[in-house]
Amino acid sequence: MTAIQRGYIHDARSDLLWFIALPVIAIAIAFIFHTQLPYMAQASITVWITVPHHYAGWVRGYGLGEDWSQWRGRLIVGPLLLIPTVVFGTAFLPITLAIVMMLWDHQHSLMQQYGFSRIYDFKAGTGAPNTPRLDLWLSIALYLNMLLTAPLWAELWIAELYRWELSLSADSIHQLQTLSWSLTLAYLLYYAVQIRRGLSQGHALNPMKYWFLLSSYALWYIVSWQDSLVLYLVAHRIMHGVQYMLMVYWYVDNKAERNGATPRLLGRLNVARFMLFGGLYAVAFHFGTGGDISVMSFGLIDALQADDGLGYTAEQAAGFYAATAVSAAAACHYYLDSYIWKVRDPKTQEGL
Amino acid sequence: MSWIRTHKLLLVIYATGMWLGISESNLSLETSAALEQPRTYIDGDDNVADISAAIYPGRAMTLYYQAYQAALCSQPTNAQAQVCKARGPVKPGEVRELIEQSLATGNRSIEFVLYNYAVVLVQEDAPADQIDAAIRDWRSAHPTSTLPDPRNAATK
Repeated sequence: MTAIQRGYIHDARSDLLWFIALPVIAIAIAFIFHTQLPYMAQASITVWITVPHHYAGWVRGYGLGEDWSQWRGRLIVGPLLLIPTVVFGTAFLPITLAIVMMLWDHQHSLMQQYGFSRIYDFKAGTGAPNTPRLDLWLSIALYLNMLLTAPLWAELWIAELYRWELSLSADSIHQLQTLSWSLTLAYLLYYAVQIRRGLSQGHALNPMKYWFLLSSYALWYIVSWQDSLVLYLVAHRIMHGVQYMLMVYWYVDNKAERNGATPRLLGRLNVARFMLFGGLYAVAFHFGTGGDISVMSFGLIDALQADDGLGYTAEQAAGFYAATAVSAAAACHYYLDSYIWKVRDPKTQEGL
Repeated sequence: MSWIRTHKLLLVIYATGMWLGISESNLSLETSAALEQPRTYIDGDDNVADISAAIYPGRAMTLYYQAYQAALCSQPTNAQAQVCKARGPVKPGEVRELIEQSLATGNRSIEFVLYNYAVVLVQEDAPADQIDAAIRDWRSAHPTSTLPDPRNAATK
């Protein structure tokens, strides 16, 4: 066995684009949001990326017969337990709910990247028996260190400590952050030693896994050191949501190809149908939960309101947006009809 | 044991939630709004403004805390606070300057910075177009905000 063994989640080109380069692209997009778009435009990322990525999870969990049989109990009990809990928390313990949801979001995010790193080892047949545990603690160490030391997150927990009457002195915070860095670096050293030992015992490693982890954590660390929540919200959501949707799509596609299993009501999905259903779900979810057109329009409505020349009210701006959409659809319809109905075309004649 | 292993994530989530929930329900109303209390900004060495300035100087949130501290110290009722005495008298326009520095970082996520900038402009009788621009900035960043019009808030 060679020391290096490459394996891909999908294939070399897709992995390079979606798992290695995507975080860099996401940061670039986030900077555009930060510098060029109104703050609320970041909410459109939730509508168009985060919500569809939930849909992708439903497709797999509730759509595939195999998953339904295997996880039926949890698939039923989970929502029955969690939805009333969230309703109760929103009504009576909003701060608790917000903190728990934020912590769970962090745990969920780090576990997704950890899960992908496990897939890399699985696909390449790499790693030693202790690699899963080493990788898990690597993820925890890196992520926890970021939460403790990055200004974006430290500002939040420092403010929160005041709320809970647990404020620390500046020296204590400095010491805590120094300790966090020291422990993280010590663990990285220990990890490197373990990898080296694994290699000497004949356990190969997959470089793609390390490029992927480097890229993912680079995104989180870079945006967490900026003075803008938008950068984190946009970059993180793009990376997390897009990678998850692709993973589900490839998983469902592989299942269909290998044993004919297709999601209920949806059948065999191609990329376009998968995205279309995701988009429709996003729109239905957004309006079904009382969202307005402003939030899903990347700030366009508000840009019209803020424009000195136009000076629209909210209603006028929404009207402008709706009228534009109707006119644009009509224009495309007129143009389409101008060339698809030529009776002299033999292909058209076949349909008549 | 296998049941616990299967549901360990939910158990951890609910245990955390219950612990935080009990703590939250024990918080007094005053504490739950701790970041709106003057003492959070002007009490002793461990006030949030001075700690933030020591750890993350020049960040949008820190500059806003410092502006809030200066605004509090400019009120006669807080003049005797240890922090206010130590920092010396608040200079004219200092609060506005600190908020402008906070805005200059480009951070638009902290609604109170944008909102209170408009409020400060109203209080300082700034030109109407300047106030309108500040209100427009606040509204375009936080269109779903339920805060009242800064022009009315400033007169209270």
